[in-house]
Amino acid sequence: MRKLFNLSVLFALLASFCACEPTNPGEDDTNAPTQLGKGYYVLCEGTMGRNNSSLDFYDIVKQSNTIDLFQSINGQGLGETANDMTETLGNLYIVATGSNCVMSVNKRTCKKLALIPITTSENPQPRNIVTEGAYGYVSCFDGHICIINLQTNKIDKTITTQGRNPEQMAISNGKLYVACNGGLDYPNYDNKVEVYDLETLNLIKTIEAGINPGNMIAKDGYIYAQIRGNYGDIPQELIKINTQTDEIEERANISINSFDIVGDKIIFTNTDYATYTTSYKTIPTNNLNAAAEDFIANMPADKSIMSPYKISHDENNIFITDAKDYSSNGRCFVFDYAGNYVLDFETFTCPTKVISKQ
Amino acid sequence: MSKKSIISIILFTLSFCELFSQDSLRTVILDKVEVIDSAMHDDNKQSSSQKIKKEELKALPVYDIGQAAKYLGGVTIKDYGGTNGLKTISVRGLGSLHTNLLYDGVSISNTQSGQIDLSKFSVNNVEELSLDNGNRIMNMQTARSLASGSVLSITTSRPSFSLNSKTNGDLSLTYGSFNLFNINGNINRKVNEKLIINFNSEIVNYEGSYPYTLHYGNGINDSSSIERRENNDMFSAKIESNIFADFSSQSTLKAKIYFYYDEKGLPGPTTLYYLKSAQRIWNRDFFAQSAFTHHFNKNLSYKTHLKASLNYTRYLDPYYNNNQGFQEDIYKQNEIYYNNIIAWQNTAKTLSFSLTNDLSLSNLDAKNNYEFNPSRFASFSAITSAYKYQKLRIDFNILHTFTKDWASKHKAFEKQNHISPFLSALFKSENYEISLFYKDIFRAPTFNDLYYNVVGTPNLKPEKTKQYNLHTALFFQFGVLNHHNIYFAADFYHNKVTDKIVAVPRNNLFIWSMVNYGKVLINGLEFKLNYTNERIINQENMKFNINMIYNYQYAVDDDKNSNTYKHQIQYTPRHSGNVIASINYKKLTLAYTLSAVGKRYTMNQNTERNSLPAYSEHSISLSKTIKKYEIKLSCNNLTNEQYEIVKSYPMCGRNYNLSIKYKF
Repeated sequence: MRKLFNLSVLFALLASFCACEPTNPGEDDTNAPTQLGKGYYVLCEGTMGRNNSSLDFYDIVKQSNTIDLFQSINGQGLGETANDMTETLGNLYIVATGSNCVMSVNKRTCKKLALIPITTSENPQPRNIVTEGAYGYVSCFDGHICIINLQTNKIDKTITTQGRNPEQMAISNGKLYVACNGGLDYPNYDNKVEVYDLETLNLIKTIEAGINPGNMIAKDGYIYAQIRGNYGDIPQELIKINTQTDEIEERANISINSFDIVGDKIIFTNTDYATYTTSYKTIPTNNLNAAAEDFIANMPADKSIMSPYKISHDENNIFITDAKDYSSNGRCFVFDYAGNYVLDFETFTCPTKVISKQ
Repeated sequence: MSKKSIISIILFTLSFCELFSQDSLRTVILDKVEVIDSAMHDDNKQSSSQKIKKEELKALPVYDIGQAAKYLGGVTIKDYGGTNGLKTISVRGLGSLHTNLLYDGVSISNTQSGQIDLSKFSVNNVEELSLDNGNRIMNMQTARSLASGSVLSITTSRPSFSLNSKTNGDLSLTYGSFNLFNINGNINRKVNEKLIINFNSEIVNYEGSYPYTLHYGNGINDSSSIERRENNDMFSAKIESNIFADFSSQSTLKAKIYFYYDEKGLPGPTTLYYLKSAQRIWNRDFFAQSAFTHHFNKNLSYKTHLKASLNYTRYLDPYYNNNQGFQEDIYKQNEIYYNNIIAWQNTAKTLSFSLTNDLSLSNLDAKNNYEFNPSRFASFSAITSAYKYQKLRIDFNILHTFTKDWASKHKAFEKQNHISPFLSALFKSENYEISLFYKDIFRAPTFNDLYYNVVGTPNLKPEKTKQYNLHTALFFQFGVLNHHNIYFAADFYHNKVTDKIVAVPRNNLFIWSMVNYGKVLINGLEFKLNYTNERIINQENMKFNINMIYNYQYAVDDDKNSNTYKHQIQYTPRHSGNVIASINYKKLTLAYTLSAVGKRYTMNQNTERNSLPAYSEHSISLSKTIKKYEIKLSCNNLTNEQYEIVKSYPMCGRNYNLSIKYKF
């Protein structure tokens, strides 16, 4: 019995260390990399349960992609289902849902700076990150937004959302917009976009945006938000929220997988699962109901995107990731703003977001 | 640790295409191979049939059927680690749902997921464990046992009594590392010359917090830390009663009642930077079955099987981020099953026929995950025939399968009608044998495949397999007082799977989802060597036995349009092998086992990043019989190898078991 007791104490002690960093985080400078050249960081989710999320780096000069540069430099992986990545203050911030943490990475060297455990509940499931100034806002499926001081890498404050399963966010006009989709209560989705004052962190308004709000992008005083519907009788939409009034100004029935905004153009991908056909379109930001035009202007005949996954951009290029069969390696396709093919390269499984490095 | 909620994230809140994003095209393969007892002594069995008998099971360092079955040839046990860990079998690259598990002659079925967890069956009280590729070659089989790619049979012991005794039994106690307790007891009662009753009961308690090395990357220089497996405990209790009634020399009845209960932690994959785990599962299995045989005369016999089973499963995720803050699923499965067999053979026993039919009706009630209760009616009918001419034996079966599903307010799986042939020929001489078989069979999609919330697809096709096997063996024995027995066999097999549906646990062991593979091609080569030496040393019998098996398996994605065409399918080693050696002298047995498995890939893409390193596990056991006591001490994983069979499910390092059995 005594042994049992001892074991249980040990057990508890171990449990308390669980979310801690590994003993040897590989931060010594012995294998310090040579300065990275110009290239693209590609975040890849990997496969569930395998702890194999990856941060790839494509070197533009060498024209080669290193799968999981993060692991080879730091001697440890990103963890489980790294879902979102953003950059600010010269660093990359990567949110790993399964690992319940945010990884801060030096963008210049790809060296790990800090692992920030998210501890709002037993299993917070952090999903997305947006930043403003020296703060990172991390949405967690457990109904919280963690506000991380990026100077100290500590969670300063926490917002508890009214809506269920907050996920995508956008910041505009001194306000934080949070899409609460309630996806874990499927089929009983939530429909809220909540608006918080960045200063006071008070809830200013709840916008009834539509069933299952998804990705949101802030652009020129507006928030463009994808409404995903229930994948059944309630169709998908794209909406436009005026951040002065926090009213929905425009709605359009558009089916979207992933979208991004460059200049005054919304670029989006879609897959029709009835026919398994994919499309790449653009519409103007000032008229969501305008006829969509093709985005891809040209592409080599021997190239094709199998399963468009996520779309992102930098100053010159549009990146469309190809998740292929979602279990083997994917690809990243690079286009210029006019939709001309530039290049493509192989990535790890389920590539999502691309951030370019000068 | 990853949570079930992530599934839902993927399934429901992201776009549908993300449904598959986390899908690992995971098969269930991992090869271990062993012939324990070659079929050479048993004329009624197919030549490539393999068995582990009670005497060997008693001596080997194995605790449950999942551990024992990995020493059978061509077998891959997908083991999630620990005594409580799920263990499923797949044979020769076909996937776990192509193996039929027979418990005393009647199938254990699971229409919901198709998965049978072999860790639920301890080796206590098992008379024989056998594996047959293709079909079992024997008389009077149920049609359902002919309806799968291979058959794993567990046969429990039939009580025997000395001349004047009417009651006997045994009690065994096992204590193992990480607080494994097992109590198993048997009471046998001979009521009269015609009736024997047996009661068997077993209780298992396991704490399971074993240490393991957590790797933060797959490079040699990557970080690692020592952790302990959390939420890895279990408690189970089993009560079983058997009745053996011999009404006359023509008529016999065997009946069984079985009740099993367990509660287990589901530790889940070891997630970097987050090792919390809290998911739980409870199972209750009940069944009653009977087998009645009547021989009308030397030529004509009749047999019937009846079974009713109830299965209850409760799953709890206390950290689920839905509105109520937890996820609880309850699954109830019921099945009734009825079989009839008529068999005829000529007086010279050279020709035999049988007609066998099985009817089953199963249904599932799982309100959280199915908006309706799916039901399935299945009918299996077969004509079997066997012809023996001198050294030649030819078997030909033809099986008809009919299934019909109902799923109220939901599209149901289409009515199925299939004809499946099986052909086998064996030529057996004094010192060698050659046999071949061909089998064309399929597996129907399970309720999970078809109907599980969002994931299920009612228009799935059955998964079809074709098996070809060529078996050759040589055997010699010489010496009388110093007796040597050598058996060498080589099997070449070629399997094709089309329309493959793979059941994959979606980041926990209980929630399964399916992926369609397209095509798989498996070319395999299996070598088995068995050597036995028996001699008298100082008036005491000494027996030495060694079995070695090597299995080569080229199992690749055969779909030309696939991103991973000709890549080895996941969790299938190219090379694997097993050794069992034992020496018995003066009632003392020393046994050694080795299981060596080559590099595997955790995903269909064969890259170093996706690979799992090769491993070898050595175990030994020492057992001794002293009067009415049998004592066994086992050390499993002697070298404390840190390995994984399933990615992120670390296996237990060195561990010990001590058991004492008292017979009365």
